[in-house]
Amino acid sequence: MTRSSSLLPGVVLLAAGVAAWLWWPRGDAPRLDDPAAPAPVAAHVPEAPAPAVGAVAPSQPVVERPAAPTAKVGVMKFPDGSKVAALNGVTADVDLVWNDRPYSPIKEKIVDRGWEWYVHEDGSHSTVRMVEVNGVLAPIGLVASPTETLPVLDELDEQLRQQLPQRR
Amino acid sequence: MKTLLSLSLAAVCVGSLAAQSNNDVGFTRGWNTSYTTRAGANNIEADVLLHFDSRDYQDFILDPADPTGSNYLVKAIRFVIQDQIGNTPEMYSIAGYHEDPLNPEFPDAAAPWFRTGLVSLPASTVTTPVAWNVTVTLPATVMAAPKGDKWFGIGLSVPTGTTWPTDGVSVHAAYDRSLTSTVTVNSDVAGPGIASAANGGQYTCYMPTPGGVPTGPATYPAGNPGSRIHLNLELIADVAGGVCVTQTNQTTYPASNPVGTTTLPLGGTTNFFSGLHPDVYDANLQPTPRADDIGFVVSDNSSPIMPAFLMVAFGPSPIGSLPLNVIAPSTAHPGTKGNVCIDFTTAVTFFGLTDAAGVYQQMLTLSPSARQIIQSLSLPNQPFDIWYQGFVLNLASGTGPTLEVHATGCGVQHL
Repeated sequence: MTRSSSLLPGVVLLAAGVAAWLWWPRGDAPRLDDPAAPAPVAAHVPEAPAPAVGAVAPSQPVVERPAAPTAKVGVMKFPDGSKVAALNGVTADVDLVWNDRPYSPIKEKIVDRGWEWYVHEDGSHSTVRMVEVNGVLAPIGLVASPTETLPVLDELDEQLRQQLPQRR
Repeated sequence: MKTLLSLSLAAVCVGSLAAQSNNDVGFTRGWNTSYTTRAGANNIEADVLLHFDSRDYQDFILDPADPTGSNYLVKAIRFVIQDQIGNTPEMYSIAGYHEDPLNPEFPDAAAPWFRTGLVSLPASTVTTPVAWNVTVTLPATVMAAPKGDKWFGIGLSVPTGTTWPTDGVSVHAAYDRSLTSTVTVNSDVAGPGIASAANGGQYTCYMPTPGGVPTGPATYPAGNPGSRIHLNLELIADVAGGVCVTQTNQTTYPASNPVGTTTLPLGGTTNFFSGLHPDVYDANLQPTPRADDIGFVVSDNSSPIMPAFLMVAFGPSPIGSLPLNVIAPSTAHPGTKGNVCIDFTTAVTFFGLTDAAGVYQQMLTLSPSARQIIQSLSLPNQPFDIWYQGFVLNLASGTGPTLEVHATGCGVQHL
């Protein structure tokens, strides 16, 4: 392999690369400064009581219709550039980092065990909420998308033990 | 020197004007998952944590606002959490830890970097297991912290009135594979270099958190082949992502095959098993001999179709890790970010272009003689290390007197 003795050759090559780039015929490169038009904004719902810790009983989420925002709510910003009213009484603006899949538009808003969520067309749920971080309340963004389940290693081991009694 | 300093200060002063661009660092780009796990904390509250060891990755989540290049900052964390009974959803939290100064290779329970309160899973109506791919966007109150070994993970609650896995939450993970294993679940036989990793190559541990308070010490499950766990956990930060990638011929871990995907153009695995510990000379004497190919993948979604280059060397920068615009003043554009951490004095440089998603993958095909040389240089618990660092030129910022360059962190493959 060829080796260089300092960074200088790399910088020279870099400059050459830049020059070549400027003269390189190519199509239109994708632009990042073309966000989609903002989507309709949803209404603020007063903060619900905090949920219980651990498992809770099955619940029936309440579906709510998105409506116009009030002045005091924060904003949730999605990767397509759309903005909606923040949920769960959050007054800060939060840029949600989306999951590793294409963004899916909001279908409805629900309230489940005191947590407001936007439900998206692909089944993803998104929300923001004030949660303690190092003991201080701060706005956290959440995106959850349904995915395939996996087996539990312990269960498979047990099955194997039953099939092969000599296995310890 | 004054010129260097003034350029650096100028970059600092206008650095805040540069657009923020969050990238997946890339740890989960080439992946198969094996099981869902609590890493041994089956019926206690605990943070299940993945170790990001500076043996493997350095300077990979640098805070772009830090002109000294000495602090890490993470913006979001992504993982998959599974609940064994969907309609009785449990709670979980998110945590990041520093290294315990008194107990190297272990997370410090005394002063976590950050730890959230409990958050909820979405509603479900099913009584069977459900799994959610979750991305948690962290608040600005999670401050930058000195770089070094870090642990990130998920705080798992325990179900009420029953035990896991009857109910309860766990997280998805890849497992390594023993040479004698007959399981059909996707699992990855790591190369010999993993023997030199901390804690027997076990990258996952749990930190007990009774009542939500980390108590330590963390417990690592035994690092035996077939028991090593790599949580499916991605970090998102305002950096150019860069991770090691290995192409193998394993049928038991198809993600490692050289088959391109939308996120990894040439395929291969980026996990901490074969991804960091390739088997380039069939050290494990597999029925189908291994001759892994090695490489690195750069991802920078702010720089689609842009020139990129990859440096490959045998060690770190001889003058220490320094901000790019200090070592190379021609890169002192306000949007420049990252350190030079690789041995740039001896590095070989490869050039390429990022694709429309800002991804550039460079593989190195080793000759048979190169594999023999590597085998002769590798010793038990002392593998032959290859260092990588990627750089992307963002020409969208214009072509002024300085260049905007985004440096990835350094990744190290242990052969």
